[in-house]
Amino acid sequence: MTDELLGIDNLSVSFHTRRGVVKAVRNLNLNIREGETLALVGESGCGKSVTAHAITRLVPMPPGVIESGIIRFRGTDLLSLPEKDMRSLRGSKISMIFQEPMTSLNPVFTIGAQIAEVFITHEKLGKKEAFTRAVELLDLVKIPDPAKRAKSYPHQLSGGMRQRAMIAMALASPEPGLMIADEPTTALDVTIQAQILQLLSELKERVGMALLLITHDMGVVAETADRVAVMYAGRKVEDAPVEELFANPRHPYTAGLLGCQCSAPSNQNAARLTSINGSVPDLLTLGEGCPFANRCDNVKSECMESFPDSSMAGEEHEFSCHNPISGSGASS
Amino acid sequence: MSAEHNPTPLLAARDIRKNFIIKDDRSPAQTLKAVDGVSLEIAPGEVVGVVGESGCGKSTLGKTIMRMYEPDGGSLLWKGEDMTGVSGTDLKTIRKDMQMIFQDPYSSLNPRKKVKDIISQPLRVHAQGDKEEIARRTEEVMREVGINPVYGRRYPHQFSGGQRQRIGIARALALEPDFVVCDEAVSALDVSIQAQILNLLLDLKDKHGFANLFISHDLSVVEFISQRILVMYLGRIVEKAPKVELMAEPLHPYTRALLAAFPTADPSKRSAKKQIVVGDVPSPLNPPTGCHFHPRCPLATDRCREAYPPLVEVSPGREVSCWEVSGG
Repeated sequence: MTDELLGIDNLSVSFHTRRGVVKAVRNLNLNIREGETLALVGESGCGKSVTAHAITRLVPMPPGVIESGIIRFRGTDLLSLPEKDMRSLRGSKISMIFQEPMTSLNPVFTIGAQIAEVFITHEKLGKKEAFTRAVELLDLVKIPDPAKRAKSYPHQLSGGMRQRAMIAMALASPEPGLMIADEPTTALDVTIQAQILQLLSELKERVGMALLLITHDMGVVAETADRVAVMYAGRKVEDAPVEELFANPRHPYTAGLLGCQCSAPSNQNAARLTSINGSVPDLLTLGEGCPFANRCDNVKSECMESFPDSSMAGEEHEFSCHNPISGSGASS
Repeated sequence: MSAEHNPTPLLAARDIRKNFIIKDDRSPAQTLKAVDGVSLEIAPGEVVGVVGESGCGKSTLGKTIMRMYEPDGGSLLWKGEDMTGVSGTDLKTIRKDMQMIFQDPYSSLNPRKKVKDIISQPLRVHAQGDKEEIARRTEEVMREVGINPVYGRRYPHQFSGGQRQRIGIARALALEPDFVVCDEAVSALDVSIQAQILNLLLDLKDKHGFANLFISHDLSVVEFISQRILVMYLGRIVEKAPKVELMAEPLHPYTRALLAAFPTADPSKRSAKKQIVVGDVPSPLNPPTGCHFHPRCPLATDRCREAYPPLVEVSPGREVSCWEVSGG
């Protein structure tokens, strides 16, 4: 891959708790190219947020342990970087926005001051100049009356406005390479979600950054992603360009996840939703087999024994399954 | 004021209102009109969806209909009889037939009670037989929702979110109600579990024939489960329509905005430039004059700024509250 921005090889992250070792991410391989939007999808506990925290080295240690793996950002191994260098990377070349902007903004500083702080820290600007730049950014994220809003405290803004302020902060760097957005619209109403998603894709074009979008919402994925990686119980099970994944899922979990969305085409006028039986396994007691085996319709005996190596279906479509859905079966 | 299409609806609300008084130390008390004159009818066995964004009053509507909140105006008819002023034993008798399923399966189950006691509580409150009969009915309803009765002695924390929601459903259905309000009943669940619970609700509805008011912010869930849909914005219904008609041709500009904003799970239908509604939902404490939607509405005229448009029937079973669409 020539234009790789971020490469993750064989990443495993565990949490050592009193009840035992939780294997949150296991043997994960992932690539993000310059300028692309990669959606990392899965249900609660699948390891998608832990992956994001590992990239930014924000996994709390202890109890977290990075058992193995390499994370390359433009060729530099992030996991072996000194903390000082990592700090200067965070918020400048790699920035992050979260689900609930109220908890990630400081309630006792104005949003203008919080955005200005990024310029003061990373670009060593003076206070006044930094504040002017902050107002420009608030304008860029389409906050009305930015000069006045810069002097507002987080609680004076609506949820959508706060998320815009968070995005502005994430953009407060000379050359943002990667923005990690962890469920950025989950706490927002749907009309506001549409506004924020549109804003993110406009800014991505304009600034030329890549976006790692973490979400559980296949609708959001379908609207915004270039490529999709599906995770289940700490494992990546499938990885493909978005249209290919929706039209031609090979892993039974991906197919199940697509099928059980109320808005899925297959559920239009259906009497019942397609559903996946059972529930997500306990990460404390996972064996070596495929974690989806106990819910899978295609299960075979080897699924219980080993997690399958990844196979390729075409140049960019990767999946890990002993008994995949046949490639021609799902085309509509 | 709307034309009735069912001879005796199971439940009818006429111009129902619910206000909350908001007080703090610095400013004078303000009135928040959470539900501001809503009328609706639900036929026996019908599933009616209520959709809207946060603060639109959909949950307050559900609770007011159940009389968990006392309405500040309007009337409620249960099987044709006024239940607005009913109290004591008479209210208890009606309540036996109406139940509620809540959003959060964590906070809606008492953590210190065994599951079988949680599920059998309504049976005990309404004295549905002796100990053996109650135990038998409890086991029966547990099997119906897919919880093995041998787990009856466990506590809520020993179950997953989806299983807890099944317990909440079992509790609601133990008395075989005629009417169930689901307030964001699947919103807290992962999508694979959400599908299981929606299918379960539909199976149980087919078997027992209860009517259902299904409240959710998620249009796709409401679309899937409902026969009719009510769209709410800032305390009022802006559009009422049979599901198929609403989804095929939304009339109110807000309904159109809601449909356009909803992401479709099909990347090939990704629209290059969608018509996205601008601005935020205004505070329900201080709603805009006239039509509450006018500051965000592409069709707004002076008339919309001055007067709230009435809900007008535009075709059988279809009502819309918009000066530009129905003409008033």
